[in-house]
Amino acid sequence: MMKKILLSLCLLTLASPAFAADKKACAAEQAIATVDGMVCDFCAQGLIKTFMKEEAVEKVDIDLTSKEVKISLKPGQKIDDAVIEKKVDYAGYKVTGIKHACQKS
Amino acid sequence: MKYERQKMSLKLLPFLTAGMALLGGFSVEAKPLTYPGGWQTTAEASGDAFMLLNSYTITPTFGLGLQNEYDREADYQMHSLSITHRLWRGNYPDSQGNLFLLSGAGYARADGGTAESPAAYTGILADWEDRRIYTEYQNRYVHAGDVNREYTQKARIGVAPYIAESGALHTWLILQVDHKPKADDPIKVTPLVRLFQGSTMIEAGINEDAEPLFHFMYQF
Repeated sequence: MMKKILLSLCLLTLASPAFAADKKACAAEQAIATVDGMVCDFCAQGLIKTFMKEEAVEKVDIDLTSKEVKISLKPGQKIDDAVIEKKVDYAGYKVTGIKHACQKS
Repeated sequence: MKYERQKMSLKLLPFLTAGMALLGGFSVEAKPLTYPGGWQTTAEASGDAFMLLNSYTITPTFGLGLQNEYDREADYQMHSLSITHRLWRGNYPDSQGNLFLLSGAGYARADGGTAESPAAYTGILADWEDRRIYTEYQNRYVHAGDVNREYTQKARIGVAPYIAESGALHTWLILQVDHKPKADDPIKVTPLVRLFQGSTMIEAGINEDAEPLFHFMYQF
């Protein structure tokens, strides 16, 4: 019985820092929108400037090959998919998919 | 290091192009809309004409600008409020197409002040591009009373010798054909090199009559 308790304590002790690190890594969110029509760098610059006006946005990176707009958010901030779609549409392009990821800190 | 050199050379391009523009004449062409709330400055110089346009994109499909142009061959200058309306856009996974209506109204004056007139113009610009191929067709009819009445058109095809990512230096090799029915030489063919990086674009070329063509665009 004592062995089991000690083993559980050991596992908890080992797991806690990993869990904490995991939580720390997810402190800031990144939204990744796949966009149709984004074929030139002028298009990319327009989207960057459009999203950088948002208070919650820290940085925007564009990957023309994967057609992805990577919107890095400030710690603790969120952005709705509907807002992303609206902004991309307003800039003249079309969103075909959005996924969310945790930024590695 | 190579990337840093490219960035540095592009920083100097606005100054170089402005200097060249002052030395040449210009002809009208502009990719008319940026993003809502964005400004764009466009300057173009050719052997026989000069154009300067400052435009503001109000909505994704509508923009206004102030356009000044001088045509040495037609012997007139025109100052106008330009109105750009995007009639259609096609967004596809690997390409994009647009159809714009480009119009304007203002004032025209013949060289030497021999005639003055209110002026208006309208035309379309259609383009389609992917990351390797670029095509464009543009036409315009100018009605400026006794000063000038002219229909012009232009077509372009371009190819990117390499595919660049966002933020890198993009290069295009373009062939431009201008048709000005009233000109002494109605058809001119100009090979061009287009370079752009970030918010800055320049194009430079020379036609078969050894006339240069420069085009500069900056978004901010």
